[in-house]
Amino acid sequence: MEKLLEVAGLKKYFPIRKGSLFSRDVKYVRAVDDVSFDIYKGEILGLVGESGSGKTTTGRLLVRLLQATAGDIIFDGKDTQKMSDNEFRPLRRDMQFIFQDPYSSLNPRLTVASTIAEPIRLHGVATGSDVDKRVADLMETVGLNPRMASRYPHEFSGGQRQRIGIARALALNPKLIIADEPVSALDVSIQAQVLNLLHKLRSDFGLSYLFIAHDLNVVQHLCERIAVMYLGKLVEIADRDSLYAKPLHPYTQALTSAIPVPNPRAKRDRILLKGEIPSPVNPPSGCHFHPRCQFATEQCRQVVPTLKKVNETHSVACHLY
Amino acid sequence: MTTQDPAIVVVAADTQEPPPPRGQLQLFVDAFASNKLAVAGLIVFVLAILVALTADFISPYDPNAQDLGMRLLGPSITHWLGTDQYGRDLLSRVIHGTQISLMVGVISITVATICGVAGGALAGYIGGFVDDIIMRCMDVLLAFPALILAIGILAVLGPSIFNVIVVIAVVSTPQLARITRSAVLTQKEEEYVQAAIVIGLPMYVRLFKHVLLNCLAPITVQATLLVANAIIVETSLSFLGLGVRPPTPTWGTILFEGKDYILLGMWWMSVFPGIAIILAMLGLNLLGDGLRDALDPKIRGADA
Repeated sequence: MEKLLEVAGLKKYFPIRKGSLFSRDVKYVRAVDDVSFDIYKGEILGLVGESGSGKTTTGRLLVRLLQATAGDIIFDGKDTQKMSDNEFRPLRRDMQFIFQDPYSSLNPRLTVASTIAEPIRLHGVATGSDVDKRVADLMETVGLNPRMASRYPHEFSGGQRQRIGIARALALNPKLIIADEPVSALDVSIQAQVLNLLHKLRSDFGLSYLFIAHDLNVVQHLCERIAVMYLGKLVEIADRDSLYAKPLHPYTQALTSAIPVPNPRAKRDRILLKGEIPSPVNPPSGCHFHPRCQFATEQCRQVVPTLKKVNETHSVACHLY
Repeated sequence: MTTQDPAIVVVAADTQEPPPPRGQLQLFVDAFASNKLAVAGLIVFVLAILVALTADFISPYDPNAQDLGMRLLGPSITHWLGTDQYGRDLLSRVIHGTQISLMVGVISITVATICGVAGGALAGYIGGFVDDIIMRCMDVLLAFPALILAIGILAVLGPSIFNVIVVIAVVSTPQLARITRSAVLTQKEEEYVQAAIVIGLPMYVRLFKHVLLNCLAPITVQATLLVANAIIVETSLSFLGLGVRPPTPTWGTILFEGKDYILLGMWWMSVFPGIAIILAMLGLNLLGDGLRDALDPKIRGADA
């Protein structure tokens, strides 16, 4: 399969100043710390992790909402990190973003039509009366009535707003959509509709997704491959079936054991993680997960594990393998 | 209002076309119109503007024509508000004073709004070094009480209408810059601004179309209230003899000329321009408060 996006050694350190006015003791929040993964054409890669694991930061780095501290992002054969903002602008057509909060991701003073038409006009996808036609087409594609085009965002429900956001992302016929927890702000009943829409759009338009989520349950139904992040590092990446059937990393094991099952009488061994996710300012030495890991050894406390290929479709960063 | 059976209403709502879209403007107009005090403020302000625009036609006498035989007369049929120490008709002078006072207020705040919004928006949106430089300059201006600073600048520049406008614009700019900066700081973190970055919108378009469009409410309110403040400053400066030069009538100069005669029982020379000032202040403040309530979707309430 052809690679659409290659991420190698991606890092994002946010500086924080500590101490008094005069001592410039700069520390860093290591939000994303040496992350590498690929996205193939036409696939949906899920990126999961708890809050603070750096998954949203990773998504934002890809579309340059944030500037990476180090690392390479190669999109469609082009190294985006070496480009200036002006050089990068044409590439934005191919790489769009769906935001988490449908309530703040739409300008409250613009009608739905102007919100969706903005990227179309800017990149000259259509001109004149074709713009209105394309807006109507897009609204129909995402399941909105085109007659509502002249309305304002506050007249729509959360699910409808997220559809508007999806229509805006589709407006430029992108190759890759980065969806940052697109359903986590929605009711469960609406979540399924939006997930089905995203799935349908993938086959209709040949899209690839990076689907960011904190919920393995949501990811299971949508994604072909899943990457698990913990404290700024990728701990495991595998195709869906092998990840759910045989999670390798102790952290992934804990996550998968927490997925609810429909049968209340099913016997399950739930792995309960102790403690909180540590601060990314002072991450634990060695493997970042060792303070919460039941299998931790002396090696885990000292040596940072790297991502190792266990088989063709499964890689894990853990000293146990 | 007629009461209807709720069941019928529900059926009717299902079969009807969706109601016509209610735009932001419509919501704003509805909210504003339902606020009686705000409408009263608007009426006073519009009346004052009409008086200023038609001053030459509606004033019964030339405001500067002296008639020494008619000095210091109280209100009467021929001179509704009385005459001053040179026999000039007070009504005509107050009407022409409206022209100068409003002109000074509106022009100076328009200039201040342009400068303050530009400075505040750049400071808030770009941040960092630009923010530090612009806002520290504003802080220096804010550190002096507005009137003292105005008196100081006028003492250097010399009194004239143009200088008064410049001075009021200078002392009002920091307040607008602060309001704009804080509004821009809140708005620029919103995800719709990030969305504008993702589609590749250039920085200045983002700033105007997305950020500033959503900062209009606080800026409008602040500007309205500052017009009232500007009129007060102009009046005070004229009262102190630093503003508009006599014989040009402004509310401040008329008040100033009348102060020597209050104790002699000739109250009309001070009271009538005073009433004009109070009415203008009241109107502008009610208008400002009404705009704030009508522009804020949270206070506007149930229709969101």
